[in-house]
Amino acid sequence: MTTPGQNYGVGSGVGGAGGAAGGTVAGSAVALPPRPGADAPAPRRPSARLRSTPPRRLWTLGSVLALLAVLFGALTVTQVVQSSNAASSVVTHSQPLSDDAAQIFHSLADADTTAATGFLQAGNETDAVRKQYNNDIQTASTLLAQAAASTSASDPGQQQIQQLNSQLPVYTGLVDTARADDRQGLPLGGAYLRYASGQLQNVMLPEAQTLYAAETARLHQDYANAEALPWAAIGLGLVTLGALVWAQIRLFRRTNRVFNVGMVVATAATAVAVIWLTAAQSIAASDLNASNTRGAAPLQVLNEARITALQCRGAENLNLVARGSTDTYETAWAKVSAQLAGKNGYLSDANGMTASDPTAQNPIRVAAAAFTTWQQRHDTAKSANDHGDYTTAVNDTIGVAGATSTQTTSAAFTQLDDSLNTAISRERANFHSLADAGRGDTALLAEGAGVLAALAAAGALLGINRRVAEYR
Amino acid sequence: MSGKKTRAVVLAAAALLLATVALPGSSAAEPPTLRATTASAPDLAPAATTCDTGASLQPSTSDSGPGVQRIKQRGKLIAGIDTNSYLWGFRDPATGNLQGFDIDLVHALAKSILGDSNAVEFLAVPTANRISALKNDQVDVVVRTMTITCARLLQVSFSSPYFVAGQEVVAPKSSPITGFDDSLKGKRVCAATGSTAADLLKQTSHGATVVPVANQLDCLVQMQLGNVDATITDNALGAGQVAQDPTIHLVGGTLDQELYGVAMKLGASDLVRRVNAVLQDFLANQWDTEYNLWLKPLGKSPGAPRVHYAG
Repeated sequence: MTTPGQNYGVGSGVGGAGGAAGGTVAGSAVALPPRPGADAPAPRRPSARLRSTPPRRLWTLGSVLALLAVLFGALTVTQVVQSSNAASSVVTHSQPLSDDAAQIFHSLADADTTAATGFLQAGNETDAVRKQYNNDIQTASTLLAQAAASTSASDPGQQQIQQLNSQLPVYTGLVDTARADDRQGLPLGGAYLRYASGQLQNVMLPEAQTLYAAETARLHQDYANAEALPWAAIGLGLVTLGALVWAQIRLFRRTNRVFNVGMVVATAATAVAVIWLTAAQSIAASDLNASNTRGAAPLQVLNEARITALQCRGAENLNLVARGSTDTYETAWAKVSAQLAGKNGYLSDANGMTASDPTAQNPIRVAAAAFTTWQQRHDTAKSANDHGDYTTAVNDTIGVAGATSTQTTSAAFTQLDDSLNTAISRERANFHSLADAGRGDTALLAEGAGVLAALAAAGALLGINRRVAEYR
Repeated sequence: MSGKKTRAVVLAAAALLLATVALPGSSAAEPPTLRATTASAPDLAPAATTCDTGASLQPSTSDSGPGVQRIKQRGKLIAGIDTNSYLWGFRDPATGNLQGFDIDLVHALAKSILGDSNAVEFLAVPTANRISALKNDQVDVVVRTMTITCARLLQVSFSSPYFVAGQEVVAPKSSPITGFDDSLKGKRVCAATGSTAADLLKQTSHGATVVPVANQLDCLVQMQLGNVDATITDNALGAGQVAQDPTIHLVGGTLDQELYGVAMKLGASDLVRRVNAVLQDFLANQWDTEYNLWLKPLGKSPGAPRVHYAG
């Protein structure tokens, strides 16, 4: 690049800067107009002579500018890395943990429901039911082990993880006792299963819920960190930019030379860095926010819906296992089904949250319709049970052994669960694509900002050096 | 029958009964304070603690009353039962069929009243809902190891007694608990909510902490898991627990004498008489067989309770 300033500087670089002349006028400010290419001969030891001279002040100016640029670069890299780590944490750590906690909750609730189904099938317990129960227990224990490994001892969920880890084998022991007693024809088996279920519903599920809440809180914290704009870096960038512009105006006034390549490069690099930083972080924050509102948030509601549906199913099954010895479960059904499908229930929430995404909303509507069917069949089965027709109630609920029935509450529940699962897959995919986009938005930003800041610092130093050289 | 006449007969019969104590199977060592029956029982209605729980209305085979007619017109007897009382009312897990002493009695009622022992709608009712189920007409009869008590007689009508039981402590054989006494001090004792045992513990707990559960069978679970040290229930149900767990035993003898009766809606006197007629036959001809079929864990048959009628 050739500029008048540069040409001039090169041409007149021979003349040394007059130390004494500048020195007498010295103020504290760097602002004194030096006379480039003026009087004084080149000093032998510039470093000593430059004290309180225009070249020295120029060096100070250059150093300050370079320092600002370096600080800006460092701060930018730090903040970008921080928010990018937070974004990574959302995707690789806290969201999966929150999702895992929901899965732990889900598999525990499913184990409870399935154990009751197997119990109602009594001697005719099907392979599918037995396998599902075993899978649930295995999933829960695997995820608990994973969760224990990926959280540190000080994490809020750690306590729940430990408790659940120790309670899970106790629960399975109770279920096994219930089965063994039942097979011997002892009514004690039913009492054991109700006790096991009570432990799960009243002790373990609340712990799983707390764990889920803790992991979800961490997810929200990571989201907040990732979405926060790096105001300090942006501010320092603007200050650096201002200082560069101000310095160039000063130089221009002193030298009447408009452009100084180094300074121009420094200014441009800083400006690009500030704009890049602001724009990329804003877009990333927006994408991450979308990954929350269009992914993680509905995913949470759907997870809750699925768990609540399981609790309804559990209450329904256990009401039959209880064989009329308590009305706890019918009360539980009423309460939990209202949480699921009531006016402000999870299904209605999820429906509202997915208004802009028919791919997710449609299965949620199917799930809501399935619940209506379920409620009708539940009422039919309940009515049969209330009139003493226990066998019909059981058949309406879990189907007839060996036959495939589509008119059971079980079939309606399965349809609801499958639909919710479809919606969950969709939201999970939404989350990942939007969160990945959010992370992609700041790709190379840290490196780029570092390079640009270094360029700005070098430019400032070189530009000033050029002017200083004019004093020699 | 007029109320005055009834009262007079009740009074006379009560005096007679309590003078002779005609009921078998009662423990000699029962504490008098826990007895529901007392010598001065002049009136059934106003006093809850003084009544004759052993006396019911004269049997009659007449089907003309409104209570019986309701059942006949429906063609089905709706019976409130328990499905978790081993030996008394429980469901065979393999077949799903209800069985037990109480269930057989319900079948006998249906056979006599409707001519078909299977013309029954069994409705499982929780312990605490037995009375409300009758009040709300959900069931015609409750045959569910239900003790005739003076307090309950204010709310429902009872048939003549068909079984004599008594509250008794159930504890692990290895436990130092010796009965309903100071050996319970500091122990956790389980009882079903709304049961006679719960009332008993309310009167005096012997320093034990009471753990309430929905059903006496839940007590066995709690006891096996070591969450409670003992259970108080009646010996008939306690025998059902012992039959399911040979490491526990009934200990200390019965604390009182409790008469199981068929409960019906308060004032359904025609149905009470009709049921008493069935029971008369059941006690005479079927009782021993049923006892030997279901209740052997309780020991040798003491013979059917001898009943008397008042009014």
